Amino acid sequence: MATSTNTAPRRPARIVSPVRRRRAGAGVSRLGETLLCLAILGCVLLPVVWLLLLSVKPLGETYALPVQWWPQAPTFEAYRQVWFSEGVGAQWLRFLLNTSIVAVVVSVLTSGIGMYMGYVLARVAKRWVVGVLMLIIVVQLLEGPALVVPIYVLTHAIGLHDTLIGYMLALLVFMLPFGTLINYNYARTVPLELEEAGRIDGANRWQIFARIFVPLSRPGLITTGLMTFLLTWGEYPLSLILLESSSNHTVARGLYDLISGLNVYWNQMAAAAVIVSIPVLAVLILAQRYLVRGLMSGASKG
Amino acid sequence: MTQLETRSSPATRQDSGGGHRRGGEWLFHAIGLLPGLLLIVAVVVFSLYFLVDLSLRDTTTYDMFGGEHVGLATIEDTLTSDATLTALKNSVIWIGGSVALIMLLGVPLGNLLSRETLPVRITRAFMLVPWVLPGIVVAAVWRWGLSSDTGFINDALVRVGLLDQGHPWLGDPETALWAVMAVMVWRLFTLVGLVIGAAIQTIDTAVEEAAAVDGASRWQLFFRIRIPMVSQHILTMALLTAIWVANNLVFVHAMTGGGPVDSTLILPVHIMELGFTDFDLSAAAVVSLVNVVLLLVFASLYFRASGLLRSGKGQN
Repeated sequence: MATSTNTAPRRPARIVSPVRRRRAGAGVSRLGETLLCLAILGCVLLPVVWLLLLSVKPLGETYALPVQWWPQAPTFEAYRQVWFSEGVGAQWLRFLLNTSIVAVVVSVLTSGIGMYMGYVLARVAKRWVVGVLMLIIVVQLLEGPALVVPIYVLTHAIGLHDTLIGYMLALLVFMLPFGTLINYNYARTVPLELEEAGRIDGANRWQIFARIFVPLSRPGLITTGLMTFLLTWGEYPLSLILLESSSNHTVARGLYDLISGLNVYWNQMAAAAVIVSIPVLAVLILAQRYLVRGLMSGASKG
Repeated sequence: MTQLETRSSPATRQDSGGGHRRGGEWLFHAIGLLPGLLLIVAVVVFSLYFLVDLSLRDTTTYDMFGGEHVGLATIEDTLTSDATLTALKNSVIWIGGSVALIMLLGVPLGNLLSRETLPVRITRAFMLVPWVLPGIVVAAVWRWGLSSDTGFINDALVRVGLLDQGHPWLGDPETALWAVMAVMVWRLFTLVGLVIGAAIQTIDTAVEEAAAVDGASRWQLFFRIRIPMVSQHILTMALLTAIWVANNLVFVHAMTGGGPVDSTLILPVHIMELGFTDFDLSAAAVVSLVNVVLLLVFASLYFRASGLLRSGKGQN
């Protein structure tokens, strides 16, 4: 008797109560907390700051002993050499263009096709869906060095070796599972009632998908697109083996060649790396909440 | 974190749709799923078939479709070679050590990041920086940072007084693998912290308040309430981290190239060396298969942990 009267008013209160409400402290005190935060920030940002400072040092200073943290004679010479000098500059702009094309095309295709696949899997609800999901996860986990040998052979077999098309196709195959999983998880949170209403109003399957689901699933689409962009922007193993001629290289390969030579111009490496990192840092700054959502959805890739 | 069990309610609702719609429904599903699935299945089936086929032959990268079938000879030679055994040993240390360190740092960090104070919120905004940076950029920065005299790590250690003089972390076979591991940990522990922190935030505050009222100390709160309540997340993150580390090529490849004297030779680097430096494609295929098996073991553990198999059985 008392239970029914007790639970009734409590329920709405729990729904309203914010999840991010301040918790009772477990662990350290306020001062300790601030110090810990500073230590962690230092650990995370030190290499990034070092890279930035390195990029504005003249070459002599990068080898000067004892180590000078702050540039004595800051200069943008390294940037000029990498990005605007004759020959090298054109090459690096080409790398940047190639990487942009690959990352944008693969992201758009992965989020578009992934949304459709994820939606269908979420709505079919047959037993075989679990099998498909497992297959998809396995494929996603296998991506990387374990399959570079057969992918290398495969692109030769279909005549797409050393082409950006072949590279993008290979990336798409390995990104699609990820895009499908994120959208599958997302589609399951979109209420069916809206689609039912559309059905009652006489909309066919395609109209329900295009007019009702797609607009609702924009967050899923954006999350997939952005995460795919991040993952393809710095993709390493496949870019090393699938793209041979330097006109097809991406920034990852360009940086690898820059640091693996005998004489390494570290200020140039830094100038290249800073520019290469700007797009991904921009995505992080503009869309962190989408990234966290994607990481929490469980369809993660590293 | 992963909720992959299929929902049963939509099926019953959708199957009640009119008969003439069934055809449209089927076509809609087929067009949505088949092209993508066929592409994925075709590539994976080809890949696995070709890995086995290459392993049974003895051929080079220049003659990838040729070479004699030699039975198990290539497999035996490759698996018993010193380099492969070293790569296996190093991979175990590399994956096990990285995952252990990432989780040991990541879980307490998650506890800190679950707070809603100003310093924590500022910190949280930067936690994904190591993960979004392209792997090669991270490798390049740290390769320079860990170099013996001009690197910032040695300089900082000497200034603080922990070292008398700079140590060539990447050039010393004793420390190279651990140095690259530190970079791997740097890249992922903040990501793990962020995810675990978000998981802790979803714990009902009433549970912790009740424990606090009962006189639980801060440490008891952490070990007896929080850790058990997010253990599912910790387990899945540990397995995902294991898979990411196992699939990571860039750090070792771009920082040490497997050296010095094979001290950082891990399976992915071994595959690249065999296939694209020595051009021994068959041997590279054998090592790839070893790597595939390793990943499938992780995958099956991951399925178990994420509850995918359980719910699949329970659905009926």
